[in-house]
Amino acid sequence: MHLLRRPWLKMIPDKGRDRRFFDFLVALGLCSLQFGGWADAAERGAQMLVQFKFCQPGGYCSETDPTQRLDDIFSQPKGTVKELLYSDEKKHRADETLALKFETSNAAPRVLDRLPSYTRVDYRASTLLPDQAGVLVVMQARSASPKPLLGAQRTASHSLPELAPEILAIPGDREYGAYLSAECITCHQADGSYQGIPSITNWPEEEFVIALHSYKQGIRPNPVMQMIAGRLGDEEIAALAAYFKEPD
Amino acid sequence: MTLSRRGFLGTTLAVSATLAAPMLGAQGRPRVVVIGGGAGGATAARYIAKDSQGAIDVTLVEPTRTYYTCFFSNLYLGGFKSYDDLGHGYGKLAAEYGINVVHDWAIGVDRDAKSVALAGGGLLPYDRLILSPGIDFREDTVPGWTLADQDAMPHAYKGGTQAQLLKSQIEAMPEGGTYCMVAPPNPYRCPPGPYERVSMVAHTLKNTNPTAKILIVDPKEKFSKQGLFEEGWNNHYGGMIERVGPDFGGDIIELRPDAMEVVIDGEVEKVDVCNVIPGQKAGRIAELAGITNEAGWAPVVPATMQSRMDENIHVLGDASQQGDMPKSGYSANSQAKVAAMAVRGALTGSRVFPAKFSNTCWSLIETDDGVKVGASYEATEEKIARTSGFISETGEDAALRKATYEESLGWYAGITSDMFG
Repeated sequence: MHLLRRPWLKMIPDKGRDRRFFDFLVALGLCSLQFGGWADAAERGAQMLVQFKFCQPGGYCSETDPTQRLDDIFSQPKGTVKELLYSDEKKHRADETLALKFETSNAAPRVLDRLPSYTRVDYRASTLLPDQAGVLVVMQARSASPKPLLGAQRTASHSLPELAPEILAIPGDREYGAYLSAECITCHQADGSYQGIPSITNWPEEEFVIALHSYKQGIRPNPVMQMIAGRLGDEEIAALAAYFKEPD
Repeated sequence: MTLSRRGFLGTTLAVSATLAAPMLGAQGRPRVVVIGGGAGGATAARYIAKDSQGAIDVTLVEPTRTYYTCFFSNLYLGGFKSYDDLGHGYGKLAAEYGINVVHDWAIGVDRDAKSVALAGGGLLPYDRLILSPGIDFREDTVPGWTLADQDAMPHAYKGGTQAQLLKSQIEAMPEGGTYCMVAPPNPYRCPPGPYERVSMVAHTLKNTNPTAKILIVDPKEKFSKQGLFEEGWNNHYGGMIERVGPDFGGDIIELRPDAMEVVIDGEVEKVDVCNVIPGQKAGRIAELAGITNEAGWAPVVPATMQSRMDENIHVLGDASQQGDMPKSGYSANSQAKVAAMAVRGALTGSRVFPAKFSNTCWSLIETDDGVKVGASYEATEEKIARTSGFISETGEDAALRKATYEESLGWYAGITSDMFG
């Protein structure tokens, strides 16, 4: 078991009600033994992860393992895992150990409601399940030695779009992306805050391109996004990715 | 609508400030005047100001200081949103985007002189004018009802105090009483709106007045999301809602506001609340500007939202006649971005990209039971043409419906910050 360097760090108070769900703050300290023994917590957490790994609202289930994205993140200095979004990026102190912040304000196990298909793991802090300690234990262990969780195989062929390398290599026209982004901003808030519709700001370009092509090819299920992405050309998707990587 | 003295004074000051602006160094900047601070106008003003970075002088004319959105007013009637939740101010548009926000009524457009006359006496010159005035009501579609009857029989279809009035009337209904909705003929603002409203009224009555009845008198044979609504009404409000379509005289009615009677094909129904949503036309300023057609709407060129009668005027949202897009806040917001780009391109030479339009309308049927319909559109010579779309399905499971509702909350937060900054 890989231990964090500073598991006792205090909670940092919320600065805004719409704090991004990927809220990497210094707070793993609360993952303590209040829920029972370490081993019990790990077992319960593992079960939870199996559930919210595969399913999302409406019973759409994916074979992609979203926790893959958490490999190796624990104990890394903030801001150094490039695939991840960090909140308050500019305020990070590089020497802070990465941790997840979970709140206990909502005890209902609503994680299933909050996990979009194959994006980032969508840990809306205020809606996390009560057994957060267990989840953290499992994620932490997984982070230390990445491998398919609980025997689940990542079957990417079912969940990633078919994309020629040339498509991923298209340089995005950022100014065009800025214009196109206006359509997205009607629903996805420009400041990255989250209320029922996920944030799309500051994504790595490639991930953004893959996500939109996933909708375009009908792999991701949301019909609004399938419609929006369905009429975007490869150049337009690249332009949007270039814009949202660093929006105005 | 009357202007209070206080409002008038504030307006005068604002107008003076606006008119003085060119003297203070803004001379030479192209001027855009936007009339109407809703989903079309506020968005257009904000995008032009934001993207031109000060190169264009933007003035927004809107009578109200706090704008209460018409979209989500049904959720207010259902108790899912408070009245305050629907209110938005223009402070950020003025302070952060440098927009001259003028709280006044536009009462005339001189298209030759290219200026807008204000009720407060000011005159606003423009290089481009954007009209986004929303709807006004036609008084010839519901015999017996005129605007003067809107206190007895409210429309509550422009947000604001009418929504408050309707809510209080519903709450005051006698036990077992009848709420009647006179649904509008096509085309009208927010196609699923009347039927979402019925759902929200049913939700309220189910909890407070479970023996009450809801009567929909409808001149249309069918309506938006009909299968979804009827399924939901059956599941949640069995027996409470009755709809009389044109096959049973829903199109042959007369209203008697004094007696609170609805006469349907000769049969008199006594009701306790009568929510009349009349036939509609473009907001009056579009008519005053002389850019509306016989049907009462302002035809536009799809690629730029320019009036077909005056290339210096763009018309957005409900007031425009553009083709396939429904009249909705989402549509107006989408059209505003196309128009903003076209206006900037024309006035500053900035890059112009192909027009893209989209719309989604979410509706809440009962707690956590949300549905949606949407489509994307492109500009053709003739009209804004639908290219593809989707609609929720009947029989969807509860988790998906709940996620759809939550998505609508996200949309509200998104579009209002897109409008007001």
